Amino acid sequence: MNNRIRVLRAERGWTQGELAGRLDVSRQTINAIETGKYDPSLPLAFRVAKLFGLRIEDIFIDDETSN
Amino acid sequence: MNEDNRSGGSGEGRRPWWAIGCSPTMARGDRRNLRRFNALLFLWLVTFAGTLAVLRLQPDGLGAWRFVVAATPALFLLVALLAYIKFIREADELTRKIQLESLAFGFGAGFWVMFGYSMLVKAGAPPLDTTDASMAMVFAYMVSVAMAQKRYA
Repeated sequence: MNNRIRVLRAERGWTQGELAGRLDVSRQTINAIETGKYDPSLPLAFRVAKLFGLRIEDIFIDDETSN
Repeated sequence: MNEDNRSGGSGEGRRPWWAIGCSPTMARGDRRNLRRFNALLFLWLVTFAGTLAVLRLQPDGLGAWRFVVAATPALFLLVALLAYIKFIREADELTRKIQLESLAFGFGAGFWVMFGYSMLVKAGAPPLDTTDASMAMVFAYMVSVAMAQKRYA
């Protein structure tokens, strides 16, 4: 699954550590999500969407949909 | 999850021995819980080695107390296991995934060694000590954690 977290984070000028702190997860988790190595749980995806003020589908893009 | 369990932020610099398995990018609370588990595991190892030495040096001198002495390491191991359960329960979701995958891999490896070797025993190989299978489990678990930490770094 692709996502726009790195872009959204950069727009706000946050580091991975700052975003991790706001989402109550580790920096390792944010890095793994941004690089596409790990897909977050549904509760975390909701927290990400709420934090950025967007819908989940505006942040996370299904590989099949994007092709 | 409490405030203390949030992102690790900066690295730790030189890590002490009881921080084995702790990545600087892990949540602070996860590192703290894992360090506690490592310290308790070390305490168990020391108690285990001490108990073995005492039982070998004083095989009959302890009387019925030898059973109490022999059971002591199990108590320390139980405390260490409770600390590990706390670590898993409070862990960040990626850390939990890494740990559970590694536990599954470790269990599978131990099972494979134990039952695979049991066939060799039937063919005439020397019998396997259960400690050897446990070591295979622990080794496979540690390798799996190290590989996952590298993969998700």
